[in-house]
Amino acid sequence: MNDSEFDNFLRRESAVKPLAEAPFRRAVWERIEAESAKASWYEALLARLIRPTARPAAGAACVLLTILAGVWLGRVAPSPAADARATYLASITPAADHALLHHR
Amino acid sequence: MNRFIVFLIAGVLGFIVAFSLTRSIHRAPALLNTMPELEWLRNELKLDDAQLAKAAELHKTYLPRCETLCARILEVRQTVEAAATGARGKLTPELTAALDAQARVHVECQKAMIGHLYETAAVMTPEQAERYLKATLPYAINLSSYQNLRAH
Repeated sequence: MNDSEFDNFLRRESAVKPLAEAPFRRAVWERIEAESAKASWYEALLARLIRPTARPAAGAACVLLTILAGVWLGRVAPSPAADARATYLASITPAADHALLHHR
Repeated sequence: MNRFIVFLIAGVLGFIVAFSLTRSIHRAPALLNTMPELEWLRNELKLDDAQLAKAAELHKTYLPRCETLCARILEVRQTVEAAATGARGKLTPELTAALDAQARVHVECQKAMIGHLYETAAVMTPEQAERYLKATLPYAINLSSYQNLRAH
């Protein structure tokens, strides 16, 4: 292929219409970019969470804080009984339903 | 990322262990394991160990009497129901007697319960006793309100 033939070839090819799948391809890329943009907020959050643990001292401090939170909650958390006063009163109130329970 | 997971697991485990240990230590007296219904006295009224031990002793003494009264309430209620069914629209002497018996048992229950409340209040400080009686006496005075309490 000499130069003039090659020039003709290029001219011919550049005149070819864009491929039929080009809009489809563009749409795919647009969707990929949109998904990436959507995912970015939780990636940022995760990165923010992970960042302190990259330094062992900061990570250990976070663990210590959760342990202290556990100690504090263990002291102040209410009794598992939904209503401790009702439970107490139920135990000292003479009532027929108690008798039914005892008879069962 | 790996380090983050290690810290995360350590944090969660640390929290669970710290919470469970503190809770079991804070709950303290062994008698609350056998009489968990007294937890309100300790947690809400802040009875100390000595006061709680005395209250528990009174509670233990009172319980058999309470059970006897419960059985009597059930008995008189059944008598009233039987008499009312047999009365066929009239206030028969049997029904009247059954209602009188029920009222007597009711009064006996109130006397027993109020007496127990006063005895228990006597082991507390004046402030604790005041709060205790304020929270419990209304139910002893009006025993039917006890059903409302349970419904809540």
